[in-house]
Amino acid sequence: MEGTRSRTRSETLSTTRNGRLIARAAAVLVAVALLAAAKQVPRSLRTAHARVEASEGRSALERELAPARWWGMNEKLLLRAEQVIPRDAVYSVVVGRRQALSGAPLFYSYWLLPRRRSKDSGAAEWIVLWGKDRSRLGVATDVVADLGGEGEILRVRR
Amino acid sequence: MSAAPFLGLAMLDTLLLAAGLGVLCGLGLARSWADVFRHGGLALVLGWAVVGIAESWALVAGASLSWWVVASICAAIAAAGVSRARRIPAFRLRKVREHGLARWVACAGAAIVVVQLVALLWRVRTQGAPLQWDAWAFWLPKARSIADFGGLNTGIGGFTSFASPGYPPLVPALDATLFSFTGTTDASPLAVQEWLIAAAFFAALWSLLAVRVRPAILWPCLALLASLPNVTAMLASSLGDEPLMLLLGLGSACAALWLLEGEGHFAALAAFFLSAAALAKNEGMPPALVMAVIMLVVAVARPPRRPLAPTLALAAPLAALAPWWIWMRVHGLPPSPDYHLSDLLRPALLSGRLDRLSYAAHVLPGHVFSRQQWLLTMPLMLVASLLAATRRPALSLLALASVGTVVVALLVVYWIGLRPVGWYVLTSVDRVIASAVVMAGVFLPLLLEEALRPDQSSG
Repeated sequence: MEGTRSRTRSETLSTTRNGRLIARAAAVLVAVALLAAAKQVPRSLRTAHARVEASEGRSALERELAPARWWGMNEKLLLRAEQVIPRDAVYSVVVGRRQALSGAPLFYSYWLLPRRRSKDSGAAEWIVLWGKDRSRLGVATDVVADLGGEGEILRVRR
Repeated sequence: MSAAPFLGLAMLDTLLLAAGLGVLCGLGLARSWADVFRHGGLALVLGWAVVGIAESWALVAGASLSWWVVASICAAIAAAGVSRARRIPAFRLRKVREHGLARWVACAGAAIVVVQLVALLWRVRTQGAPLQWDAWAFWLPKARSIADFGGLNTGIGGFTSFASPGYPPLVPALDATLFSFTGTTDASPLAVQEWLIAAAFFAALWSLLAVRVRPAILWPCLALLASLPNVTAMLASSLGDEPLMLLLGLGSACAALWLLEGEGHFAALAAFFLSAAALAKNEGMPPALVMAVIMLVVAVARPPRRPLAPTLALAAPLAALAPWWIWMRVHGLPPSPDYHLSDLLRPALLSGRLDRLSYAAHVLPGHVFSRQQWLLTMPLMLVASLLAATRRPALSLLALASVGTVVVALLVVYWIGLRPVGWYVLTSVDRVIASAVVMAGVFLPLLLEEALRPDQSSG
């Protein structure tokens, strides 16, 4: 009886001690979380400042074109295509290997909406050509806008 | 930019707030001005999630997302919530308070959250279209196609013509709604909206977790969450991973509170957030199901046995996604061009791709525990789970299993993926892991509170 009671007491003491240890460890974790967050504040402010500096002073259009600039696309050709291709047209984007790496065809799909991009240039009414030879298209086209070496906008002959 | 788009944005957020307050009113959580003030952030982010679910269904049913359709959806949700108020008694969430020196710890944490959100707003104010590849390659184009073509168009240049056509439509639907209200498809107002939702997320976490967690623990943990470099980089990125991490974070908070408090209100909130997460991205479903299954197991194992609420929380994400699955089947869309889940049943193929699994398993820990990207969130959560395990084993299990599910699901996808594994990991890991880290950051204060709590009861 006495033995059981002393065992229960020592178990209770050990539980209390464990509880205190756990509580202390938890308090240390809270402190670590707070310190880690505090240490990050200057870096966050610097990052925000750098991003603001990079975009401040730019026009609304330039800001919307930020991904095209960032990924090295031809912004002039993009804007010209927007002017020339009718809003209800189906168009295709034909680019060279290097230009494809910039994601240009995908960005055109976004930028030129509601114009619809077809992956098949044979099914398109218009073609945006960048870094590729027109003679290799396999469809008869007329040049509507020629940006020199920077690309062409073609209307498919029907 | 003119002020008109921002007036439209304000109008949309007022409607989302009304829808969210309606739902909270229906649950008994918002019945006074004090409740409205406290739960304003929760109401906005809940309205955003619930309206997103309803819009996804509306799109699948063939509706467009013009402003009056969205206004009708918001009004219907708000009215349904308010009409339930007569039958559901008020349930005021308590708030743990702080005294003495510990208040200053809470103040320091809160100050860091405010500074981080202000820094983010400063950046977002001048931000244009997002730079992240996936954002402009398919998330924004999908949203624009909904706005331009009046719904889910399956023709050339339509919704299904972009990458990942099998992703559910919640995120593009919410973005398209913003385009309808701002009257422009420019991405700049979208960044501001994403900031507002992020701010509402932190306010919602505070109003929910304050039920259980004292401010001196809660605010330092929220400060850590607000300071994570990769989380702040992803906020206002227009990537689908951004709403996914916020929705899973809120779902985790509500599921954990249900475990600790046993109130059906939290299970209902978890059901809404987890359903929206499942509709935000395919990656949302596995952690949503795991959380709901753990809730159900606990409900069955622990007296008084009340499995109804967790059963509904389990059924909700599946029911929310069912219309989209049917729509995909009707239109012959593959679930994912990047992997076939059925490959998991082909042992020969799996063993032939063990090199992919071993590569992913080798590089993944470096990303999950990256201090540069996630500070100390993961190690802190793991240690806190161990500390809380003796007192709250179910909570520790919920935290470890939910976070672990994201990591394991990612490993499985890399294993059965069809694209080169090195490229696949490089282009996706840090985005997808964000959900796991945010969940870890949400569980952290709850685990620490339970570890520090003198109460010995297990749960």
